[in-house]
Parts: sequence; C-alpha cells; structure tokens
Amino acid sequence: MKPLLKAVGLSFRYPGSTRKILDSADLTIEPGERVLLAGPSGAGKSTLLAIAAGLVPRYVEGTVEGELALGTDRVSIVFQSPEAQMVAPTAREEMAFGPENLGKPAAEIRRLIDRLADRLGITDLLPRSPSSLSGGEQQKVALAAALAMEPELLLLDEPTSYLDPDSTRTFFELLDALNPGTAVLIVEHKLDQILARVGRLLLLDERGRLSDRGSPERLNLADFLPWRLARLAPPAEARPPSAIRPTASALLSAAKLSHTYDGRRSVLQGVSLTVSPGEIVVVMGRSGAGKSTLLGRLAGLLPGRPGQVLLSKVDVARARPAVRYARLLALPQNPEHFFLRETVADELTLAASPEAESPPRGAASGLPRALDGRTAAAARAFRLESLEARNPFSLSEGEKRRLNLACAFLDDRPLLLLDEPTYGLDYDAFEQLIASLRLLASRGSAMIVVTHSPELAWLVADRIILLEQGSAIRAFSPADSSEELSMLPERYLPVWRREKRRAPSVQLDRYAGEGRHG
Amino acid sequence: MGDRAPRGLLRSINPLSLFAAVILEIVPVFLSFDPYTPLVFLIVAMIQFLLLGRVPLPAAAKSLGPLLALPAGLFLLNLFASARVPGDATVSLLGVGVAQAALHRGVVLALRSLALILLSVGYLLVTQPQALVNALMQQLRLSPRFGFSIYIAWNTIPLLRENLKRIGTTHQVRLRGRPSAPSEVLMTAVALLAGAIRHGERASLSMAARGIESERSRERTFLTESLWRRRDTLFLLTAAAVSAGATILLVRRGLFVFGLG
Repeated sequence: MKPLLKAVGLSFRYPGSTRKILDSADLTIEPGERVLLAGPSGAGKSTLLAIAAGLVPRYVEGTVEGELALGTDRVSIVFQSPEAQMVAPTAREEMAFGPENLGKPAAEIRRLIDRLADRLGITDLLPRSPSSLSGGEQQKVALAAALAMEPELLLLDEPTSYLDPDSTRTFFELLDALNPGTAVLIVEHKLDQILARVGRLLLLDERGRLSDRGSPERLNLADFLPWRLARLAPPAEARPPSAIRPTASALLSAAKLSHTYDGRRSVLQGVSLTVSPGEIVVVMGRSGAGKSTLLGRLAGLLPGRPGQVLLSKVDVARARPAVRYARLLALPQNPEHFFLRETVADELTLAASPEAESPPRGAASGLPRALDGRTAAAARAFRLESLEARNPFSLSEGEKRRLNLACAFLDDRPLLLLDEPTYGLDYDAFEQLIASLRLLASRGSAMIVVTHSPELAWLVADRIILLEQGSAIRAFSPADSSEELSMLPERYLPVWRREKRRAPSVQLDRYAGEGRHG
Repeated sequence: MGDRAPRGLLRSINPLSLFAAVILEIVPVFLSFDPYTPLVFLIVAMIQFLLLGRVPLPAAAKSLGPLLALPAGLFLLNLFASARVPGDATVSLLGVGVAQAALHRGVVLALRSLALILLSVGYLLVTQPQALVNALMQQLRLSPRFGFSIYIAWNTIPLLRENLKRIGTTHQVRLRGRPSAPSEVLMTAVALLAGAIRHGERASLSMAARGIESERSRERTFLTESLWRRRDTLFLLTAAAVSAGATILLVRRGLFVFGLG
C-alpha cells in the first residue's frame, strides 16, 4: 500500500536562522496508522505537522530541503487553541467550511455534517456561534470540521492542551471512534492518555533529529513524562517538608462565601476556607464549578455578599484597593496580561521596587537595566538570567510564566492567587513551574492555585479542595491515607495514582523502578 | 449589526438589495438642505424598517437612543452658537428669542442627521452579518478569505472585550490599586494587540489548512446559498421609484433645496 506521507532527509529552517528545526528527518505514515510525535517544547513538532499539512512555505515561511511525498490530498489538521480555529459564524458553517472549499455540493455537505455531528454528539451545537461554546465544545467542533474534509491523514497539534480533564477524555474517546482507515499523527503531552491509543512513537529532539521509537509497549517509559513527573514525587509519595508556618491566626480566612450572577445563577454556595502562611491550597473541580468565582471573591474583585474574607484581619471587600492589594497578588491565566514593562529586567525591577520610575521609552533597545543583588538572585532562581534584555512578550509560554512567578517572588505579598498556571505549558515548563511554586512556598508565600491538573495538585499542594456546583465537597491532602484517597473520583488523581488504583503492584513498581534509574 | 433575524417582508429580501435601496434613500437626504426632504425619508425609513422589517420598537429605541444626541447637539449648536447677522429676524422659542435663520438651519441639520441615522441604523438592525457577508461573497464575488476574515474579526470582538477587562483587573492588583501610568496603559494595548495578532494568525492558518486558497476552492460552494431573486429586483425598483418620486415631487413643489452644508 502506498504511504500517505513519506519524507526522506527532510530539513527545515526559519528565515534568517541557521538552526535547523528539522534535520534530515525520515518519516513514513501508512494508511490507518496512529502515530504519536513527542519531543521537548520548541523542537519543531508543530512545524513538522505544518509541513505535512502543506502550510510550509506558503503560510509558514522557511526553507524546506529534502523529499516529501504525500500519497493523498485529503489531509486535515486540528490546532492547539480551540477558539482561534473558528472562522465561521455558526458551528454548522464551521464544519461546512472545508467541504465548501473542496467544491462539494451543498446537499452533500448537509448530509455529511448531520452524520458527523450525530456521531460526535454535537448536533445541539450546530446552530450556535463558536464564540458562545466552551473550549471543549469548540475543540469538538474543530475536530468535526477537520473530519468533514474526509481526511485520509489527520494531523492533531496538541489538541487537548487548553481542555479540562473531562473535555480531554471526551476528545480522546472521539479519536477512538474514528474511521480505522484514517491515519493520525498527533502531538500530545498527555502521554498517560494517548500512549495506549497509538501504535508508534516518533521522538523529535532539540536538534531537529527525528527517531522512530516503535511501539510504546516496547519503550523505556522512564524516559517519558508523566513518568518523569512521578519521579518528582519522592518514593512512597512522601511530600517535601511542608513550608507551612503555623501562626496564631490564619493569613486568610473566608467564611460562608456565596455568589450569584445576575441575581439568579448561583455559582458559589457557602464555601469556607483558611490559608496559613507558606501553605499551598489547590482548588479543583469541573469547568463551571465556581473555581474562578472563588478566586474573584477572595481577591475582592467580585463584589458580593453573603460571606466574608479576612486577609491579615482586613475585610477584603471593604478595604481600599491599596490596602487590599498590599496583601495579595493575582497571577492571570494568560501570563502576558501581567506585563507592564518593555524588558524582563524592568519587569523584575518593578516587582522588587513598586515605586520605581518607569524607564524612558526606547531604553529597552539599549543595555538592560542592571539588576541589584536581590533581583539578580531571583532572575537566577527562576532561570531568567539570560533573558533580561528580552521583551516579555517575546518569551516562550514557560518563560512568561516563570517571569510572572519571579515578579511575585520579588513583590513579596503574603498571598498569591494563581488561575490555571499550567495552561499551554509543556512538561519541561511544567516541571519548572513546580520548582518555582515550591520555591515561593519555602519563602513563606501562601498560595491558592486553581487548576485542572491533578499532577500539579499532587506535587505542590498541602491541601486540595474539590468544588462541585459551587460547594466545597471535600478537602484532602496528598499525604492522606490510601483508604481516604481511594474515595476520590479518578479525574482528581495523578497518573501514577490512577495506575496504582487499577493495578497496584505491577504498575507502581514499574514506575518506581524506572524513576530511580531515570 | 442586528443579532435578530429580519422579520416581515424584509426577511426574504437579499441584504444587497436592501443596501442599495437604503443608499438610494440616503442620496436625496444627503443632497438636500430643507426640512421637508429628511422628513419624507424619515417616514419612508419608518415604514421600511418598523412596518416592513418589523423591528421591535424597544430594540429600535435602544439602538437609536444614544445616537439621538447628534441631531439634538446639532440643533442646539446651530441655535445658540452660530454667528448672528444684523437684521436677522428673531422668533420666540419656548420664551427665548432666537434668530430665525439659526432656527431653520438647526431644524434642517437635526432632521437630516436624524434621517441618515434612522436609515443606516435601521439597515443594521434588520441585517444579519452572516447574510450580508454571504451575499457579498456570492453576488459580488468578494474573496472568501476576506469574507471569512470579517467573521473572524466579528468573533474577536467579545474576546478583546473580555481580555481588556482581565488585563485591567490584573494591572490594578499588581499596581496595588494605583492608577496606571501612560506607559503602563500602553502595555495594555500591547497585550491586547499581541493577543489579537496571534488570534488572527492562527485563524488564518486554520483557513489555509482547510483549503481557502487551494486550486479546488475556485469552484467553492456555499452551504447557505444567497440568491438574488425577482423579488429583490422588484424591491430595489420600488425603493428607487419611491425615492425618485418623492424627490421629484419635492422639487416640483419647490420644497427641495439643494445643499451640502
């Protein structure tokens, strides 16, 4: 059978760069194959997919060398960010967009959409505007739009990185239901869920070298995450020494917080919470459970009653902003929203001395501002020392997130609120995030972290609070006994815990053994 | 543009036919400097949109309300701020003596702007953006890449609004409640712009990946067909006849005064 994709000695360079993103890559995809493309961030995985999708060099500029033969013109791609893929006014039109471009008759497109929507369970979404859909719904529509082109080769570029665990699971289940004749090449970091679904793994390293590692079953999984993450959790999952500093009174004390939107829709119902200095409290729950509303109430950003939030004995809702925000700092989901200066050095300087004058415009083009001892130490601790002259907007997602955290470290407010700090991060950046959060806690910063990532929760939390339909249904600690933890729904457990629950002896031993040698 | 689907007769009219009709109605208003022409076309606009388009009055009032400040402002400005010419007749308006010429100019400009506002806002209220862009792509051969870019821009507006709110909140907390300096306000714009550009690039790639500019797209089809039917021609001809007839009548009666002022 003719391969759908065959590349021999494929190389790629961006304009003006000498670095080869791909270096003499050989690759073959046969019909019906399911192949995972893994590798560190920036290695060129997305570029490889863009080449396979025919987007290079016309839409993604660069120099391609080597041979690339496509055995089909029916290639579709689904990108990472769900909202940015939507180009049509309704989900129905979105699905029709590709077939329309292929010149298919309207009646045939209509039948195709109805059949696909029924199969993917999105019929009720068809008349809706894409901007009114949740991220998970948008990504389902994006998959449906790609499938509507009846591809023989489907390319998926980190399609679940902006999805919550439930939406991720649903997305992977949809992949399971694909036509077996459709070949899939997927870039995905959620290895625990994807490895069982692929027959072959390709690894792309930082130097652009592509290697075929064969079936995942034959691999040394210790080389891959999240098994690497499991190593961050010490043997027997003993937690690192807690940084909690017991004090006579809690740093933050929230009592019976409730919140309704438009006077009707209740999203928070009687949630109480205390946080001590140095403590990391992780809030988890499904989308819409009230997590972001809780953060808004704790920060005094959402005016509302009933309930009271005392932060260092100050009533947050009643305090003047200057008083309230002297005690807490909120780090947004999108790290770019935090930036106020033109260079990394100036961002750090502002954080260290909030009264510092803004540097004159254009100063960024010269040498970076010299950092004082404390600021320079923070830059080193958060691995930003080589980036001081860079514009914050030019950093990678992981670097931007580290800059946010370094600023929080220097700013030195007692309480940090973090909203989904893992979005858009690959595993390397994820590891660094964990190190950064632990560093902040060791200094005495208390943190409330909203996240969908059980791995993050398990690795940093002193306490995990589960929210469901606006109520705190359970609080637990990763240090709790296995018996207590076995009561938890699986989606709140990290991969190594989930595996342990399914097949305790074999699976955990395997991870532990590989972890020690890794 | 109107989120509501057009109702009544206008439901079945091609948006381009309606657009051309509105242009034909705007031209005489734009070229006149008398109170009668805008008044006639105000009535035409009301029949067209309130009766034929069945725009609900509350929706019309909500959209038009803030815009009424313009005709009101023009009226007051001309009444009280225009230069007086010695010898101008004075009339009493609510017990206040005002120059008759200024009152006339104020009324003319207020009515003219009101008619123009009603005609254009009425069109926006009865037109679905989707139907208009579809018609532009199918009847006027607007490039589909450009047409769908309009949708993308349209979908980006709520995203930008949400991001602006989030950035403002984040900066407020980070700056401990102190107002942002001008350079910091600029960074809000940078963050918004960076997000919008990235969004646009990704959407553009998404379109390209689905063959918007491929060879086969030359024979592009449309799921929702936009047709120019006989009734669209008829509607346009009727609008042209009404517009021309009303203008001719006004001219013959000596009520139409040409002027762009």
